[in-house]
Amino acid sequence: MSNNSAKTLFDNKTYVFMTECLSTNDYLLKLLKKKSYQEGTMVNSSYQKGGRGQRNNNWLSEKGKNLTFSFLLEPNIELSNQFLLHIITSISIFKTLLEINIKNISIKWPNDIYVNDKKIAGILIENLVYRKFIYKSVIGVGLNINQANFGILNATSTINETMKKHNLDQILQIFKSIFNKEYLKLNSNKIHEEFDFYKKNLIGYQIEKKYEYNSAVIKGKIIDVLSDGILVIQTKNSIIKFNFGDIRLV
Amino acid sequence: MNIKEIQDIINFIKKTDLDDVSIETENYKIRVKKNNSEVTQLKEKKNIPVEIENDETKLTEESEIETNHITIKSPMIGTLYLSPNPESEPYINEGDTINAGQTICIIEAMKLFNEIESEFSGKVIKILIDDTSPVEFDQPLFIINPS
Repeated sequence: MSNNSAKTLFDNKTYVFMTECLSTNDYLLKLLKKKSYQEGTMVNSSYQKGGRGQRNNNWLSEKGKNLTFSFLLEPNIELSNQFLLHIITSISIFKTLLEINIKNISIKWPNDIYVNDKKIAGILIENLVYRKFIYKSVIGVGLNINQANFGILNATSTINETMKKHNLDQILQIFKSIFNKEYLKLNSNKIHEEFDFYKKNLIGYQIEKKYEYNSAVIKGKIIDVLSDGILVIQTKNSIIKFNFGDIRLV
Repeated sequence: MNIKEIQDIINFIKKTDLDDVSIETENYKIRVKKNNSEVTQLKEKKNIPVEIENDETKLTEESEIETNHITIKSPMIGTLYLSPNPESEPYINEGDTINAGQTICIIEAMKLFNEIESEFSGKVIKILIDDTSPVEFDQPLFIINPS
């Protein structure tokens, strides 16, 4: 990654807009298998029918109301540093929401963005790995904007938090310019500051919460997130380290 | 000789100062080289059945003369997926011929999905892990006969 390419990460790059798409991540990954695309290539869809928050865990999105997009990076980082991609992406969403005056934003380990304890955005990252190096990374973002009703889901949107409708494209532009800056920090010393920012805004950081892990309930507070993303929780009697996504806030 | 025994030999040799060790018995000949952790060479003698086993399966296959198998190990801790999604066919099957750069599995941790590409071209001899199982760093995943 050169500074030059990152400064203009999204400028003059292939941009695909689709009114309907199963998953922007899948679509972009398929494009990559056919021919090579520059980093910054973006696929944006106003309606994602099969978006995956996680495997088998569908992201519920109303047509034309939310931002669902994926973009290509060539981070060339070691696999052991993969968590930095979560850090810069979640912080970019966080700062995008700050920019439009949303308050009480927090990050739920490893990569969900919450506002007032409701989920507003999710990230799905898929890396291509060769010899323990991430040479391509597809970053997928789902951000709830103008959808007001989420049924039984514990979710929210910018319209519910600000009582204001937002222009999807305008918010995407804000995100892009913030992500540009965050991406420059990926291979610099400034990544430590971003790590601190991430930790400071983590739900349960230095605050006691209940977690479910392997069907047991653990009470404890997050005391650290290690450079490889491992979550460190201090309980009454011990310090537990988690590296899997199967720990849940109760 | 099974995978566990091979691992034990490798682990034992790791702790020593030896760089290159060859062990030869009636049934097998194994050579382990240090500083080349990705590659373990296992040379089977002619027409001796090889037993490769993991937790559930036990299978016997005829080895070819002077095979030179490579064990692909997990580059990270996580959950391993053998197919792109539950409805799809697996990336690779035993007996398939694969090319370097071809995706062989996905390993996920902390919602980061990593498509792992093979460093070797060759034939898939054995898949050592089940779909959606947890894997440790350096755990043997596949045995490949490189071409």
